[in-house]
Amino acid sequence: MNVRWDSVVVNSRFWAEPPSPAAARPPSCKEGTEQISVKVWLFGGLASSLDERPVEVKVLERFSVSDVIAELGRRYGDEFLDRVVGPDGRKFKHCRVFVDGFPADNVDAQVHTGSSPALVEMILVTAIEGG
Amino acid sequence: MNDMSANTALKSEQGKDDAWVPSSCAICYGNCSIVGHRVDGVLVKIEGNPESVIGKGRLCGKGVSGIMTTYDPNRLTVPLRRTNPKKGLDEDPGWKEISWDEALDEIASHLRRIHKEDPRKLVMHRTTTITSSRTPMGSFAAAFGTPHISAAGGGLHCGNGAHQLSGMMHSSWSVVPDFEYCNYSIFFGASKGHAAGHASCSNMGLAADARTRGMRMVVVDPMCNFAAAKATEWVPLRVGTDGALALALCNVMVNELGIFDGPYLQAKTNAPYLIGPDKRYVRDAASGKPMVWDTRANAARPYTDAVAADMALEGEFEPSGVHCKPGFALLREHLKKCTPEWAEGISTVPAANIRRIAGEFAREAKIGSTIVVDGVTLPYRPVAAIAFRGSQGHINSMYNLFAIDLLNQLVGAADVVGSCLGFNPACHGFPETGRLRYVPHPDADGLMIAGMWMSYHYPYPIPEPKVPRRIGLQDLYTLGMISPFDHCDEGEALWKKFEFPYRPEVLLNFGCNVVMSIANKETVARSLAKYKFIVSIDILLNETSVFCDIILPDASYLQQTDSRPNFPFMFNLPAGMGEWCWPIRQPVLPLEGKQRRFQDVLIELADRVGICADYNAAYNAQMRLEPPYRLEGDTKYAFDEICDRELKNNFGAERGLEWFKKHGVIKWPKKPEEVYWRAFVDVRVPVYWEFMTPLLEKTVAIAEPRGVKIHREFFEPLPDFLPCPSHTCKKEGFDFFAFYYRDTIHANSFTTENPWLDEASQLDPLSYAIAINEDSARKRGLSEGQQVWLENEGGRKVKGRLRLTQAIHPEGLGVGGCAGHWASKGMPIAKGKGVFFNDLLELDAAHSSPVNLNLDLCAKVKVTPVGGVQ
Repeated sequence: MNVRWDSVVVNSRFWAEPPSPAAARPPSCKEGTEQISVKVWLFGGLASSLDERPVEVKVLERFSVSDVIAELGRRYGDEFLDRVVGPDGRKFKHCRVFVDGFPADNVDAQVHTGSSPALVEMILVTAIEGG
Repeated sequence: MNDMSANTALKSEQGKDDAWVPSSCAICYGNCSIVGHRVDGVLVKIEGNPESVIGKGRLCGKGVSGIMTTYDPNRLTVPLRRTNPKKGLDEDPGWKEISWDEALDEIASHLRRIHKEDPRKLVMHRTTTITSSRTPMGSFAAAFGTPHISAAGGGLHCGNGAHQLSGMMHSSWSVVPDFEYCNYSIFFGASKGHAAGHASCSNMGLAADARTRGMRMVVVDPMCNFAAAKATEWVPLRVGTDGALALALCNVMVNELGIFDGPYLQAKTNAPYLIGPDKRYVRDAASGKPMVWDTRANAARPYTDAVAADMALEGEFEPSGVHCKPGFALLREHLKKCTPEWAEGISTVPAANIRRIAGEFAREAKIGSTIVVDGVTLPYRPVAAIAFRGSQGHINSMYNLFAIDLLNQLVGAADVVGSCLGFNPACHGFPETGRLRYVPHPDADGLMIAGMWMSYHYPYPIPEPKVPRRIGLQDLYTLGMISPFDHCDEGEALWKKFEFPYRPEVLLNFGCNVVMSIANKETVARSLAKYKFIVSIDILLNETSVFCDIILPDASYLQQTDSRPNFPFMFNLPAGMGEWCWPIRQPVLPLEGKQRRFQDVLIELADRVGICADYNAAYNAQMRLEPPYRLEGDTKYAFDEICDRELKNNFGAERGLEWFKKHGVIKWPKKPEEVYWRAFVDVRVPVYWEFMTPLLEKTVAIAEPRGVKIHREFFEPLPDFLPCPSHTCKKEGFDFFAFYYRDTIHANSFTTENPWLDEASQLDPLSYAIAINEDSARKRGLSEGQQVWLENEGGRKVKGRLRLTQAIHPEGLGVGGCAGHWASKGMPIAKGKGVFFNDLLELDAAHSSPVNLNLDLCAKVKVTPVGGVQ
């Protein structure tokens, strides 16, 4: 009795993060300083002011989602960024991003390596409330 | 994993159709697993599916009666178009049958127009009854580009306080006692475990077993009905005063008895964070992290740099010249004013009882104890305080729920063995694929972000207020989820003040009867009349149908396919140890007439509007579909194909829709580290709501220059009792607090049309009546069965018959469910039965919380005999 609860479960690795698909890919042999072209599909409300889809942006070949968002922000301005990131610059949880078909939850992680073309998809999911 | 393939072989030796088909109920949002017995094409019986964890073979009265809803001769079977352009509560739409092509063309033309002009002109409503409709409906909204999707009345009444609090403190949509191990539970206006709510039938069995085992159940409720009637103790209180009672219980525990779980508060809450005179954290200048007082170092340090056991919970400090105290010290001081005597004056619960219950709860928590579950040693706190619709249905819902959950937090009874549990806040994933994995994680301040949530509006961190662009103003009132401003008369004035560049024009409604489900019918009717075009997908005509331009005939849940009737797990899978379980919904019966499944109708509309690629992308996002199961390009998929892809995506290529149709469900065992995750995950929850101070400042900066007053008392970091408008009513003769309660044989408003449930309600002395305390009635000369008017302060009236009972607080008037239908077509059985309580509810800012938009659901009323003075 009267055990400090936090002494009960020390050093549990049960919830350690599993390797993500992106991290499991082999790293590029290059240093990642060259620019590549990325096709970005914006869907739903993010696409409402676009003339055509997909749009192409240039990023470093070993890019993160943050790099893509920053480039889109330069192109489409604050109105776009206000819908995608908060005042702290962090991507909203309701903005879902997929890179080459896989969810990219960590915006700062390197999500694509090598010079092969990358496909980025972004959509704002909507509030689902109640019940 | 179970195998129902023998049962689902649809043909007997004689070639006769005789099948038990595993599927999922959708008479209420519990969505329990069922098997439908079909003989020669006719559904003859519905039972609970014993192979599934969701219901565990049990099924409530609503569930077994689903046959009668499906076979209701008033079911819609063809698309209808109104011929009378005039809309109003008493207008006959003059329905005319039209073809599906005509209907879809007309709907698509309106949608194409507003999609081009401004997609935000589309508003979508969905019923809470079919829980999983959130995916097709939400995906359509995302694809179209509108933020306006609402669960209307069902959501507005239950969600803004309860779900927010459960999410912030337990990373789950709702909470429940750990029935298997809990020894002492307090239910504040909650009927979980009593045939209603999340994981309804599962909890029914778990609660019954717990009571048999000896779990003490104290039910705080103005009425002794479904939960209190089975309780160890019923604590009647004045309507809407749960928060005051909970605060007094907390005060007795920490200040009179000195019982609290210090180590838990140190390690799992922000109780040790230092708070400055500005009500904010004292932050480390270099890292920006909240500081704690490290008693070992005798210095203030970032919370990440001190050992939990060394963090001070009490005392006054002056790091860098800033006078500050730990959050717990402020909470303890704050609670001192909340004496049992103070709470008795508000709630009418005797102070002696408050002290006794607080002592029982605190001592039964067994602070410091551990237990071994499945070979894992875990903290053991066998007490739980839970709350739901009853205590949250008030203007002060946020503080009511905060105060109630503090009972759990103070004794460390949060997501450990025997305690208050969220419904499955952490899942390690399906073992074979690793899919469906989620777990809460900390933000930069160490506070918990839910591992999964059902809306983009996560319960924490609190979003930054903005100049609003959602018609419900949830982007200004960022603790709000569903908004009364969607339908109230003040909406237009508010939209003008905030210079909205658009107005709502088209309403796409799925199964909601908003004229009845939100508040008084006149106010909602005025809001509907402003829409240029309304289309509704439904199974019956109802009171809202008269405002629609087109009605589309939907399939019943027994004619539907759905790959995720019970996902996310934090909504409907029972909490506690046992198994993870994923059932599907599949058709037990074919469609009739020209009925179509709503999911396929939405796909067809997306195609006609030209947003198929966006709809596919939205489904990919909502279901997290990965290659090779992602929906590609602008391909138009059938909904069955989408379901098949989701199932294979989660459970492997061999387990698609056909596999699930044969097997019904898939199950795998839960682990103690998943169920009792709190001990294993390094997150804290806020017992001092520091975020309220900046939230107030930012909200005021946007609202008040535009003439919208913000009430400061709702934005304090520590909870208080703030009265409902009904508590401040002093008008002569208005001496009862009217409220409605969820009748467990009904769900939302449509089940009153079900003849079996109607018969049960007529046999139940309370279902269709107004419950009044017998002594209170006799003092006023009121008698059993007497027909009376209930009139609110604003002159709104409803009529009903009195039922005299000792099982209600002397000041309370209890009305069952959402009854009293009046529609002349579509629901003949329901018409004229019961009392339409919501007609007593005002729908305006004065009756809505300025912090989370919660609508106040009680009304101070005068009781007058029909036909004059008694």
